[in-house]
Amino acid sequence: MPPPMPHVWLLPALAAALLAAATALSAADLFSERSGRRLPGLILPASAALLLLSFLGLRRFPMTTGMDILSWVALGAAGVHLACLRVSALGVFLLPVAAACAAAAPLAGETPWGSPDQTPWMRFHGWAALLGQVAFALAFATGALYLVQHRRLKADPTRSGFLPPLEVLDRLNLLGLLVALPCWTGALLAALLHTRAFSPLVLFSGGVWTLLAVLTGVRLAAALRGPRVAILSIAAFLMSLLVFLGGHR
Amino acid sequence: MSRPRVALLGLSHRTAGLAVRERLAIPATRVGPLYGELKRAFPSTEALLLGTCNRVELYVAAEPLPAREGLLGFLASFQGLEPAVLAPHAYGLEGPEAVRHCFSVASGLEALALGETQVLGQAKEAYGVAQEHGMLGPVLHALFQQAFATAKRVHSETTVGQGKVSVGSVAAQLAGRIFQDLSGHGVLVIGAGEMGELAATHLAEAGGNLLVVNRTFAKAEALARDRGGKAFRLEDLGEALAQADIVVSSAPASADSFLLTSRLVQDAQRRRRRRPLFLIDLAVPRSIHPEVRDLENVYAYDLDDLEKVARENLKGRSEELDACRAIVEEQVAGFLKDRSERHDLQPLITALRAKIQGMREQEVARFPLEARAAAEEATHRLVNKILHDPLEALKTEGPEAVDLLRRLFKL
Repeated sequence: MPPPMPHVWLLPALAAALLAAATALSAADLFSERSGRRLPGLILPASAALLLLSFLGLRRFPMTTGMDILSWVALGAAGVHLACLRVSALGVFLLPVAAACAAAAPLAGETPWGSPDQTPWMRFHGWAALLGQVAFALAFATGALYLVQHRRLKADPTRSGFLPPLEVLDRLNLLGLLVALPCWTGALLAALLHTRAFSPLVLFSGGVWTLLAVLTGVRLAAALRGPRVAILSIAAFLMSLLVFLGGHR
Repeated sequence: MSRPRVALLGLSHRTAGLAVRERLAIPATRVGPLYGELKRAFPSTEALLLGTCNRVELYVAAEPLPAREGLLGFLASFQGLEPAVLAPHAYGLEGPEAVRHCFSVASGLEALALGETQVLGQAKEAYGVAQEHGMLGPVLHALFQQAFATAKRVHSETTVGQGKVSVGSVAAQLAGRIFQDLSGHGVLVIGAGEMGELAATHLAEAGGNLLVVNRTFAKAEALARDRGGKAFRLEDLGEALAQADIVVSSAPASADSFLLTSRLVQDAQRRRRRRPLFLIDLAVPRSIHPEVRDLENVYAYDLDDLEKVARENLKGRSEELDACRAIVEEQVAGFLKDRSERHDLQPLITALRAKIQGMREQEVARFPLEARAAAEEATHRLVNKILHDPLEALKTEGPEAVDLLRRLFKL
């Protein structure tokens, strides 16, 4: 295979460097309990522009290779953070994912995403699972921040100023769950239709889906709120990560 | 003649926690009896009691000054406490330190929220009550007049009053860590007193749906009507609580029970479907049971917590504080100079008054008996009017005027 053109690896590498810098700023904000830095707000569009430029250099539809997928995940994570920039602490969770994916994209190269003989069900499964996992990650990150803010508010209100209000974190957490549930449902059904068998992975995925469905249901019915929902979101995401990594080894 | 001195004994949010402050809280109805007992225990002593939710301070002026231990013992026994309970938290200041502290307090520089103006209103009210009970003399009168003038200067010449200037605004700041904004949230204000009214104004302006509960329903209705809210009777506190996301209580607990108990809040939480509930207790003694803090999705704070947040707000405002302290220092120097000059002039003023008074009495004695009362009154007024301008000039014109007056009246 010929080595990739310089712009194909250089642009994602530059984007990865910028995203790593934004990660460091977000982490510094979190630990120094300061907020309001404007730099990530400038860095994120710049890194997104670099990734989009790298797509232009490919001269093909950028949704077929491992590099494409990782670049899209990086763009998605940076985009979600840009949309929720006010919740700057989210950057500590989202930006490392974006930076790692942007850095890994050139390494993945032109390897096709999935096997060439993939059925449409499996292609759908792949995309739905990816989107569901990003949404789940949002629920996880906001759940973790909710717990931190909750503990600070209970123990020492003077240390709670940096993090966003509980209400905002709760809404973002619910949004993550509401997007993750249909994606996971679609991904699971597509996998079942493809394999037509209950493998251990499918059964474990079913367990995670049940947890996600129950969690979303009780949250919507307001039977469960606050730290308990946050803890369950974190647990459910970690379980989903096992499924995701196990299924795509 | 020795000069009366100023002193104060007190404790505040800086030296004592709420648990101690609420034991020394003297309700308005007991201030009169306190002054009565104070007059008996320390005759010829000017006194003023300043009691707010953050401080209790007793200002006195006399010569000689009552001993600090004596005042502490008096306050403790009035509240049925052992002096040892208060002693570790009490501070006593005398002379310039007491004057400086008084001016700083009135200007809001010692307040929980830097630069708040509420304490100035409370100081003016305390001044009025002390005057009503005949506790003020020339020293405390002058001290507090100068304190009010200092506060006016501090608020008009610096920006210290801008930003988080009241307990209500610090409470709103804390609420902002739980709720994105107050619009659409039910804000329950318990207690329609001055503090409740301030909190209601602040939170209603921030967009909250106001609910008011008060022991006297008519007051709750009046406050709710003014701010476009809804009034509830105290018996319906549970119902009001179920509709609220934010609760500000400024109604002190009665001797035997808290207004908001753990069970009441738990019941409300079930009805509210466990949404986060934010409670601020501004009352002294506290009205929210400490166990409420441990409930899930309930964030309850009291004045000690607000004090911590307010102290955080102070960081980075040292320049403003320096400007305020410079004004206070100027005012303290002015007050002390004025007191000193007045004291130096006092023998001359007394001699002049005595001489004129003697002349007046001689002349009044010449009137027929039936006209003497009217003459007494008329000449008294006349003498006061004639002496007013020269005596005022004496205080401002300096040593030349003093010499002139001595020569003119052969004093």
